[in-house]
Amino acid sequence: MTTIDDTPWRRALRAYPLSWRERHGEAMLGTLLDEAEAQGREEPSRGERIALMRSGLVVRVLGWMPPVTREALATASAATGLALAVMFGVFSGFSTRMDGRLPAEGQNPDLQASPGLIVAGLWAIAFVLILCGAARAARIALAATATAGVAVFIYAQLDPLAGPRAITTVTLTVVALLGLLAPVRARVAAAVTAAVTTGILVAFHLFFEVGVGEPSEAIWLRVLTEEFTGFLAAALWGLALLAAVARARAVARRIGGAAVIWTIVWLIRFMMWDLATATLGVAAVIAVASVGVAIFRAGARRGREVHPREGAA
Amino acid sequence: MTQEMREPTFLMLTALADGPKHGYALIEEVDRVSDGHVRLKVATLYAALDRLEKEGTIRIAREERVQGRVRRYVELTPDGVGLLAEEVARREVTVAEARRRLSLRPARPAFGGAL
Repeated sequence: MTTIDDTPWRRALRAYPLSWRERHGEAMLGTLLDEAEAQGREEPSRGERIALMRSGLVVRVLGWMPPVTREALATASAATGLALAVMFGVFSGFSTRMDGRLPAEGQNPDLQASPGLIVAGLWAIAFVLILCGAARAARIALAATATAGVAVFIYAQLDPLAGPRAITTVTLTVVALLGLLAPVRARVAAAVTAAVTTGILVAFHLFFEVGVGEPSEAIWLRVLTEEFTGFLAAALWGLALLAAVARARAVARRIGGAAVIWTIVWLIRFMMWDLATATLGVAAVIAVASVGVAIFRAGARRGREVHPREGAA
Repeated sequence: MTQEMREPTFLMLTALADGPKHGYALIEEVDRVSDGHVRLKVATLYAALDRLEKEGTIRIAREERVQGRVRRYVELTPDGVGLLAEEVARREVTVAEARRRLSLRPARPAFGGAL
């Protein structure tokens, strides 16, 4: 075994948070040096630096969230996003655009495709890829969905008549980003959640007589109202709690994931219509979440102190 | 486990099946077991080890310091052994079914026979 200056690797490992470096830093460094020596390198390769930076960033941003929670959230996001995309595509994908600046005879009475269909279409592709088990390709499609969501949002700001309403693109983009939290591998859970959510939303669209070809705000004003989204989120939290009490942990996690997503949809609905109240609501949620994360991290740290790792140096 | 086991996880557990290994040995072993198709990055390896340890599939067997470098040996827990055995049985069923179906295919006609 030759001696290699480990400084560049130690520097690259700084991408990880201190708590991770305390647990794995020295073992990782040993492995990195073993590999470098075997390959005759005296410094980290470019790919190695990128991988460490990327992995470190993921641990910093999402490390506090257990992988199962991340996966449950990603699954619920994928399913809910598909249901919302289908609702948008079916009910508002094609609509008549009434330009208030023009007289009645100057209006185009034909149904016109909304640019939001690009986002909805990408959602559908992402979900099909998930069902086919192509988790990596699905992540690429979800990233494309989020990018398209931002692009369509900007386009709709420049030409509001082209639509869809900002709340539609914002919701689909946020949910697509949440779908990137982890690869979605629970295909059955994703399919069941998507089918149930789509069924509920279709039923309510029919109940509130939202017809095909309505402008995108109809969905938000008549079905996905503050009250409805809030009720749905609360009902899901209640069900998750019941499942947790019944010790059906996997079910509780799945329903809890859907509850988080609907809480976010409710917050977006709140925010897009009433900015002042929503800001207070978001601040309250962030405060509660911060306290929760702080307690969780303190508990984890205390656990490590009480039960020191076997064989740790 | 109700979810499918990812290929790198399966390869890592397979590599650990015959005893504890340290990080670089595990990378080499996965490379060998996969016939050179999967070469784990160190960052990926430790992210997976951290997850598997939290799930109770593996545990730290021991740590050694060799010429200043820490070598952490990991091993399968009894739960991990059970999980690997379950996955092997599941894959065996699939492979047997694939073989059976392939054997049902009509033999390919000889060159020019399809004309």
